[in-house]
Amino acid sequence: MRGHRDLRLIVALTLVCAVGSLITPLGAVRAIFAVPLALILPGYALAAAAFGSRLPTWPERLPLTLGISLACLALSSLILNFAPGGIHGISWTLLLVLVVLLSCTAAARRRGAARHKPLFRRTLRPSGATAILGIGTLAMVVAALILAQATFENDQASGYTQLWIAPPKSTDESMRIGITSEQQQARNYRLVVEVEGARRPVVESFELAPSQTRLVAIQPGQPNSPVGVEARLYLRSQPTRVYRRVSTLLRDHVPSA
Amino acid sequence: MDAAAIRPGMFAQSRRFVISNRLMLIVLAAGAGLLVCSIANALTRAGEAPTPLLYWAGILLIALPIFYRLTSEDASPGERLALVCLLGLALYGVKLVRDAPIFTFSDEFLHGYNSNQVSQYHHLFHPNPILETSRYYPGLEGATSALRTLTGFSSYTAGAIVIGAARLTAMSSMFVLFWRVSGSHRVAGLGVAIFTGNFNFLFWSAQFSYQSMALPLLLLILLAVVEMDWAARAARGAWQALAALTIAAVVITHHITSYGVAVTLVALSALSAMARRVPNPWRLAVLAVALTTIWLVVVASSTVGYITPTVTNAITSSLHTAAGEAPTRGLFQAGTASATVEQAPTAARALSLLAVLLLAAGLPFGLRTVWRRYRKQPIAILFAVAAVGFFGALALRLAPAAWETGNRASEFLFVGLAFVLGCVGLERWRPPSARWLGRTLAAAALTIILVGGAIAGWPWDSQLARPVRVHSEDGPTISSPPLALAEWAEERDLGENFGALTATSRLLLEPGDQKAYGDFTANLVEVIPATKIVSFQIALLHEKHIRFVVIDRRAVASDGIRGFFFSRKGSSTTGWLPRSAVTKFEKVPGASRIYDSGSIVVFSLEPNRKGETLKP
Repeated sequence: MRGHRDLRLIVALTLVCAVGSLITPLGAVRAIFAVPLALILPGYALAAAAFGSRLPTWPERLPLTLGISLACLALSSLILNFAPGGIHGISWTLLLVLVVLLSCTAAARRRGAARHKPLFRRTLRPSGATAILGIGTLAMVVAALILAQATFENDQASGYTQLWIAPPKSTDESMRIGITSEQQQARNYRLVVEVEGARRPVVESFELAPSQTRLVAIQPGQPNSPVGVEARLYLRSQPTRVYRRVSTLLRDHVPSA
Repeated sequence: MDAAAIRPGMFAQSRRFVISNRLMLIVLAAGAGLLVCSIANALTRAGEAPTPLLYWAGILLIALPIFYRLTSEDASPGERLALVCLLGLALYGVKLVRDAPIFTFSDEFLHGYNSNQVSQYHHLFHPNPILETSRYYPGLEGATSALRTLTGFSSYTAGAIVIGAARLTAMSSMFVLFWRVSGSHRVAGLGVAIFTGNFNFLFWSAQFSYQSMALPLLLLILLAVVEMDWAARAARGAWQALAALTIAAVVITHHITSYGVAVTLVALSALSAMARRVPNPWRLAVLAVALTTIWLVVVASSTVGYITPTVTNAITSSLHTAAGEAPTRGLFQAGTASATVEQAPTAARALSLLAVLLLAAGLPFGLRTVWRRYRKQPIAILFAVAAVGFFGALALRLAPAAWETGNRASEFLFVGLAFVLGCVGLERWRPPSARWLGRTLAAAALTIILVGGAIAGWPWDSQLARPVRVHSEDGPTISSPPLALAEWAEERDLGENFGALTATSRLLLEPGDQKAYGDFTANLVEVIPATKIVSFQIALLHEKHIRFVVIDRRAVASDGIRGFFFSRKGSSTTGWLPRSAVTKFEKVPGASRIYDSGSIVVFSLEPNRKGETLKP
């Protein structure tokens, strides 16, 4: 590979990206290494191997680099699928490094003696004004993406409340009933839980702020026989109208201690 | 040949690429346009109702400067390539700033779920309860898994990057392809600009779905085939090898596109043989047919059962509509709740129809140019056939059961139409009294085609984002009813099968990570809305091992476009399922009503117990 500066650069970048993506803890920073490793370097290396000394011009290399990288990833996943251990970060890293190294070696052999060419042309150096415009663009794109990620207050969104019973298992001693508020504002509730065979219902009144959950544990008293449980939720503002209702049958439960 | 044309051997002139301030101003305008679109989306998510003009102004800010520059004579090939790539990426950005940011497009949930399965089990081919066929085409999820495992990103973020790379591949491949075929980088730039006006470009083809990755690879294959024609003998083998690699990738990525590759290569081989052109891509055609057939027979045989009804229904529906036995489908309809949603205003519809008229009006001029200049090139003939075929696919949109087939086909055919219309040459028309007129008209026509295509391709009321998560008036974040159900299910890791209508089933798949079946499993599409349930339906639910049935009463429950979001306060509940659609399950023996959020109720069905009948 001596003398082929682009191939040496590709190999160096691949090794840096591979190590970087393995040792960097933060996902967003890891992307700086992982994106070139997955989406650029394999395509460039494979194209270089295929063309040898007759590398196409850069307008052709752009789709080749990206497209062949994508094709390589799709096919490589099939290889990893049947490899021991399957699809993991380490196996991906090793495979991509292998693809690039083998391709670059093949490319160097096919090219023969190296010809020194500048890697970057002077014309790609931006002027001051270009740099300012570029920074302005970057700022706007970043702002657009941050805005897209943001969650806003929206008083037009229709709020509601969830009432649920955790689906009982045969070994459950007790049953959990949950109330989660997805309302716009804090609300007052009254929960009435009737357990078959119990003398009086369980009644709880409480207030929930938006996104807050209240859990109520119910322990039926009759062992070894199916017990019906019904929970009704009322809004304090409408005390006679059932707002939410859930019910279930607790079968063959183990009696509480 | 116009001034922007190049001789075959002059491809190298593109090596000189200067980043001019003019180019950077266009880049800046695109960034500003994206920001405007993001603001418009943010406002709708915040419950405001910004004028749609704000959003369309953003689109125009992105596209118009690029279109105008592409019509000029003095732009270099490198600048044009940069411009079309910028156009593709900026319009992809419009889709990204519309996202929540979670998946909000119907197919994205399915592929997001597949991607999660790969990350969870470290292998491909895990079942997908809603779209079984998708498991046999794991190319997209496989590629995404590389980024996910290397970065730890979610399927949404990794998928957005992969589709972004695919978008860039599509734009650059198409530009170089058109450049090679026409010999003119101006025709190439305009052709790619026209392609952005295809109905699916802005949203549907930008979603995390297998076709979004496969179509760009198809374009790369076409580029390789054309390059084989131009390249020195020594480089032909390289192009052929890379085309073969890409064909293999398409075959494992998307069924329809793999058939498209096979058909295109066979047609090109036949046309090349008729024209006695060398080299003939028949080897690649044989490879494409062989790989597609092997994959279909050995791995993905269920695809036949998936695609056949769609195609036969499309044919039957078209025949019935043509014979006057069935009514035509109204245009600008999308989603199942079309009766209850806002229709596109008249001006928008008119713009959309004007776009189609412009495409049709340009066709004869483009075909004439193709015939005069490029008829010796098989791929140019194929483009011309596709251009005419596009209008045939357009007619399919009038038949109710055929519109989706027509819609899918139109995107492939639009590649040919884009090339043909790129050859029209309106931008070179310079009347002595107004020398600017041709360029201005061409840029205006491109803008109408882009905006009209976007309106025709996606419902008017869904061009902008809707909220799935909002900050409540008291501060904390709350989720839309179907999303909250998905989050509830994920938190409890229920581990058994759900059955639900379109919107909820998809959210239960991703981000809910539940095994959720959709409308057509156990005939849920009829069982859930019905006011009564009969024993055989319960037996069917048990047979499919559906433990949790989700009854989403909202009118948009079956709407794969609008069903994922919050409804507005005070919005009408007309069109909701009747209460009896819920209460019927209370008569099912052993059924527990385990979740109630008002619009959505979940019943847990106990495993089948013999001898039990419905409660009175």
